[in-house]
Amino acid sequence: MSADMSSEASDLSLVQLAQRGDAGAFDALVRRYQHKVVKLVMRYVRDPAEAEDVAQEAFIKAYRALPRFRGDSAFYTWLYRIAINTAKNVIAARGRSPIEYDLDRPEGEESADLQARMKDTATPEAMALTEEIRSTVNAAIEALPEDLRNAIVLRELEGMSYEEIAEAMECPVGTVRSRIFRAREAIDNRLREVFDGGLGRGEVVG
Amino acid sequence: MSADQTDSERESQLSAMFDGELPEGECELVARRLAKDENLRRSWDNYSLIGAVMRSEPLARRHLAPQIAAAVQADRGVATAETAHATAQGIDESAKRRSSTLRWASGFGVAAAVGAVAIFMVRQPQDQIVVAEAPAEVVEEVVIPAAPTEQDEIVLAMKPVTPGVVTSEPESYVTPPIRDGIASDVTAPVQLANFVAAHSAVAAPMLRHSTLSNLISSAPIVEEARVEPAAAIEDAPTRGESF
Repeated sequence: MSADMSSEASDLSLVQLAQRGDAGAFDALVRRYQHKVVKLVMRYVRDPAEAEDVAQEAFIKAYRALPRFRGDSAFYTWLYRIAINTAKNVIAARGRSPIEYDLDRPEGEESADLQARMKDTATPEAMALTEEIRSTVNAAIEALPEDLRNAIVLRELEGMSYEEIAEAMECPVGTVRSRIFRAREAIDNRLREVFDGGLGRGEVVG
Repeated sequence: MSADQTDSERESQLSAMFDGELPEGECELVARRLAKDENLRRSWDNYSLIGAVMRSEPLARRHLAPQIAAAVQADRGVATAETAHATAQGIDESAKRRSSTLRWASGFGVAAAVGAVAIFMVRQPQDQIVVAEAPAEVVEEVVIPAAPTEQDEIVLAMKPVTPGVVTSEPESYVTPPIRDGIASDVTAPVQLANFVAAHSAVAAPMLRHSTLSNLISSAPIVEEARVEPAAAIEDAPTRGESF
């Protein structure tokens, strides 16, 4: 089972709730995709703060257009188009040319460039929190038992489905599900300690 | 099963849903829980953060969700206010409609009463309509029961009727028009026919038919252009014809 295909069902459940006026369901969709959308918009808008504004506007537009979403495409595909159009409109309205983006550039190189741009304009507090979050997550992953670490790495970095991971790790799919959950639970607990310890995410994420 | 195990199982489902690995049938239930439970959404949020950190993706420097949630809430507030306004307008319109319906109904009462008198008069032989019996100047109250509209008002046409004088009322569509002032003998039916026609909405169909038939039967026959049946058939779509 392709992970991308199956995520449609979970997104669709949230979308349907949001379409019936459940703000919590739409909030869950925002939380799921906010980093992806900011990353996407930064391909068009250089300034990270402006990219966040555009991402925010894209989500609000998506919310307003939600009654017209019929599920003909995946929710993220639909959101992606809204985000791109919003970014292009902002560029056009301000008479700027879009960032020249090399489609052949490796993913890692692109992420490094985006991170550098984030750091360039970040406040010291924001930079400190980003570093805190990254080091917390990395330390928590290092501390995981090997089978949990392998499971979450295969899922998050390789994008493998549970079935593929089960095959690679020679264990049942249920075990994969449990390992990935336990890995996330451990990291989640560490992150909560960071956020609840005074570096709350209400203001700044990273 | 303990409460902790239950929570753990719930979060296990949540993690599977995040990966799109939860059976479709379970997604709706977990989505409902997620939408209601801020603690679950916090975990969901962190799952997203964990993936972004592991892939070395840039992180949003501020948490967008609260601001978006506030905007969504404001949107919902506007929508609610608009709905309330529309509802109030609906009530107002409904009250207006009720009011105009009452006016219409009261108009109906007057019209029916006047119509009944008119019908009675029409049913008498024409030579028995004694104009002299009417007062020297009769004020005829014509009530036209129009379909209720937004600015619905019952039109009250206060019109003096002077016996023996042909008024400038519109031509009747059920009696022949007056030409060169010769048709004085049909003046009364024209007035009555117009009156009855104006009240046709409130007259019983059979009665209306009977009344109008009487009037029409007293008028000269006007030949109307007849549509050839063949032409009508040509224009009609053939059965089974595709458009």
